[in-house]
Amino acid sequence: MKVMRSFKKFSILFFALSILIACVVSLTLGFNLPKWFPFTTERSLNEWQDKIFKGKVVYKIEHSGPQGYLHALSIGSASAIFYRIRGRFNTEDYPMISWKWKVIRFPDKKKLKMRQGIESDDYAARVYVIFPSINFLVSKALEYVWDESLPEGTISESPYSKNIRLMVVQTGRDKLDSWIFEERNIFQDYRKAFGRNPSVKIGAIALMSDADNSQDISEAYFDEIKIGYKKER
Amino acid sequence: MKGLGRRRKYFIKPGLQVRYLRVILIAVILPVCLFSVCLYYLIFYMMAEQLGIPESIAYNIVPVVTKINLILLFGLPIISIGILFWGVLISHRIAGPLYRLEKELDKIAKGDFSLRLKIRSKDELGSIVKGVNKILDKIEEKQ
Repeated sequence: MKVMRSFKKFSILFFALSILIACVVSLTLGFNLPKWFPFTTERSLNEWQDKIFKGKVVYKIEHSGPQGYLHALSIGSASAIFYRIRGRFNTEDYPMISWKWKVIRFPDKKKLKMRQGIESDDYAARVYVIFPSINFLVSKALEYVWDESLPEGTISESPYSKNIRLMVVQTGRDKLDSWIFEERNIFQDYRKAFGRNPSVKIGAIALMSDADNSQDISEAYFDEIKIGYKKER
Repeated sequence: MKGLGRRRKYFIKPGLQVRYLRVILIAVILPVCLFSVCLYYLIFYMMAEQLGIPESIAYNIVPVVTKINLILLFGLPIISIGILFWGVLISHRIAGPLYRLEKELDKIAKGDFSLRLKIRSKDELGSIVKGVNKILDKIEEKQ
């Protein structure tokens, strides 16, 4: 009986200690917010992973004087670069994301006119905010897209899943080849897109330019992505 | 020893058999479920991690997981019922002779040493029945 009691005590102590260590580790690894990605050097991409969907999009750092930015060129392909945020953070506390982007070439949507659903899902530039859950079937993703024709402010369900919502934040060719600064409140956008507050924390962001369905070319630039901050008043 | 017909009742000692079935179910289904959950989590979570892009996950993994869930939804109850049925079939081979042994030993205890225990060929506890019958033979010889 004594052995059993001390075993029980040891188990409870071990369990409590494990939780404490996990909490401390997650806290120390996590919250160096906001995350900022200026894409100034080649090494800027070291912490980003390539995630291939259909073919490989070329992502590389390009320079214009001291400035650096990320260039994405898709030739009939779809792949993203993906950054996992180690210490997930609450959207309500740190709701803002901002970035700069520039579209050079849209995938030819005329080719997709007759197509619907998955086959028409090509965008020159997208910024993903991913809310991964332990059960990935309920993971959510919010995508900010720059589309050639869809009106600004359009929110639609992805043809791939109801857990993915697309939000058109730039539209048309008027601003083609010019840098546009975007700043979004993820918390509010999530509420607009999904109709409720986010139930999981932000765990990753990703960038993509794709032209796999149109089998055309899309080209875009991204720069100065900043995530996890409060808007200064 | 032999000469008994096919057993009609399969729930002879419900208490014992239910306990036996419970052990079978826990011993078989619980580790299988636990192992499956771990495997399921490991494979699919790792795949989801690898794919990363939400569209890619939705396109490649979600249909597979949905199919597996459906198979489990229909397969697991069928397997569980099968195991329970098999458990009843096995357990009655122990519960039956035990029940008989209890009743016959009661009669023997009351002084009927001419009685001999009978058991079905597929039943368990055959050696015990043989032993009891030998003791009864010796008792009768001495008398």
